[in-house]
Amino acid sequence: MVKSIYKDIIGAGDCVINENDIMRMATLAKLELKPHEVPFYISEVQRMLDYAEAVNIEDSAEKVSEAEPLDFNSMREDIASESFTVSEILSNAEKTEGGFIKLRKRSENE
Amino acid sequence: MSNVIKLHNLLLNKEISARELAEKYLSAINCCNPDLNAYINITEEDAILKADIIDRKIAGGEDIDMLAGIPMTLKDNISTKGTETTCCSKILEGYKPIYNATAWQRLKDRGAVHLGKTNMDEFAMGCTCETSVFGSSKNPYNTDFVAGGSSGGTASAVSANLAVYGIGSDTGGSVRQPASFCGCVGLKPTYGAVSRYGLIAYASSLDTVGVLAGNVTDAAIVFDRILGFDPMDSTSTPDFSACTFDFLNKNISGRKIGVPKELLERASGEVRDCVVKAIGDFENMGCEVEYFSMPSLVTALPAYYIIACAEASSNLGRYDGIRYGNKSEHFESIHHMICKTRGEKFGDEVKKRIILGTFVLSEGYYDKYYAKAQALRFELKSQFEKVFEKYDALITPTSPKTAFKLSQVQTDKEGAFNADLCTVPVNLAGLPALSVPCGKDSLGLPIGMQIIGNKFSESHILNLAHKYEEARGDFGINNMGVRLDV
Repeated sequence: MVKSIYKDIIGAGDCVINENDIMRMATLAKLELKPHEVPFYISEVQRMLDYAEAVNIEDSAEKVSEAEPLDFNSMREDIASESFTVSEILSNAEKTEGGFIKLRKRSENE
Repeated sequence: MSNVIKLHNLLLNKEISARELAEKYLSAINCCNPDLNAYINITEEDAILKADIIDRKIAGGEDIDMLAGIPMTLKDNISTKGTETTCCSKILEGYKPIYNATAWQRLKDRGAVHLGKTNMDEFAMGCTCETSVFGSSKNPYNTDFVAGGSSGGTASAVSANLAVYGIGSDTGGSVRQPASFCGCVGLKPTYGAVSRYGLIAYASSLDTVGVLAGNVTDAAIVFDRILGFDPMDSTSTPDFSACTFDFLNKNISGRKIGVPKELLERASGEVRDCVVKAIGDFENMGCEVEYFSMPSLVTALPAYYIIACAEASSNLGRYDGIRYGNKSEHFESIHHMICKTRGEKFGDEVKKRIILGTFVLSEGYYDKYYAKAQALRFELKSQFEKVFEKYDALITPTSPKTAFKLSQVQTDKEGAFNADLCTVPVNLAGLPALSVPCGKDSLGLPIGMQIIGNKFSESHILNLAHKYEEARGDFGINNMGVRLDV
């Protein structure tokens, strides 16, 4: 059974998000955030997590262990076949050299 | 009623050429697109080139497919070889895929005339098309209102007859909800029925390629041509084939239809009344209707957001500005360049979902959020299996409300969340569903009814929708785009 009715729990989550959480997630996700952006993500992520509290099903732990994997994927034999050429694969890169993507270590005006 | 059949016959009878037809649509796009912002890239040259090929085939007496020479559009997350595909994001600016999405390739092989790419929420994350870097698409019934999302541009274009049909994607309602807002038909197929190869990923276990069309018959004709196994998508179902078109006129008397009370109760009065009236039409056609309770439909919404964001945080990890797309100009190291590119080029909504997805997968929170969401998904799937032992189809509103006013969701956050309330359970369970227009609200904005079927029962839901469409009669067009009485 669902512990709390969805509409009643909005804003009533027990997980409080702070600046450190957002900065830690941004680091893990390789996102450079500007300081003025952080309050926006704190409030937005908090709001979404508060909604998510509705997922608190009393017996969900048991259900997780009982749950069969969703049968979406079917694996095939790993057989080499015709594919794209190197030049096709590199065609969207800004600069290439000798079949590799060429990058600057830093931008020229830094 | 079918626009495709009508135009196909005009082409075969040489009452209009494919080139004239393409030019008619391109001219209408030039005229209406500034108001609607449905198209973000018009592929005029390709369209004319392809139309001329079809004209030569007709002149030479060759057999052509029903979709040959028919002008259509693709959502901007469907890969088109050599044509910019950006997901309406700055980070993919300039990206030209080196292959075609399977769904598009199958239509292209049949002579489809591609008019251009249509607007969408950035990376399909949104319900109003307002997170697009190109700005929002407008609703053809009233341009002060949104077209919906995320396939808002496609729905706007099809509704305004700036394309006969469109290919969109549906992860949590992104084909059905804008179809509902714009008064057209939107079909989300069973997960695995249509290849996802070349659809730029948002949440892979939920993403599907869908169809938007002016009527059910056209949706069936298009679906029949894009479905089927594709070795390039490991989730593509090997044995599925269907000809839903042949099934459209089957008698529906005696079909058992279930109506989950929870979703009907959460709709606005006008939407509820309209859907209940449409349910009455099914009863008049001999269907057996029963209202029943399924509380897990409501709690599916937060589970959807957790799962979708978790998958998005992984899928969008590939955008580094190195192999394709756009990158930041000023950086101190390669690592800095990647972080800065992602920080600068992703929009706020996308960054929010990546951060949330990273959070729910991180140590200490995985069990609390992600594992529970998966448990709920499993439970929901089991409940649907039981429900479909009893009913042939379910009927709900497509969206609890009609289209939002432009910018309304910036203040109406709860409304934005609830926009997907009726559609996300379908994606979580991998079922097919469609939206068909069933009326208008007091402002003249369209209302959509959702018909949900068991896995791979597209023939049945299209049949029901087609019969309903016949009973409903003409929906009433908006005053934009190409008139088909050519």
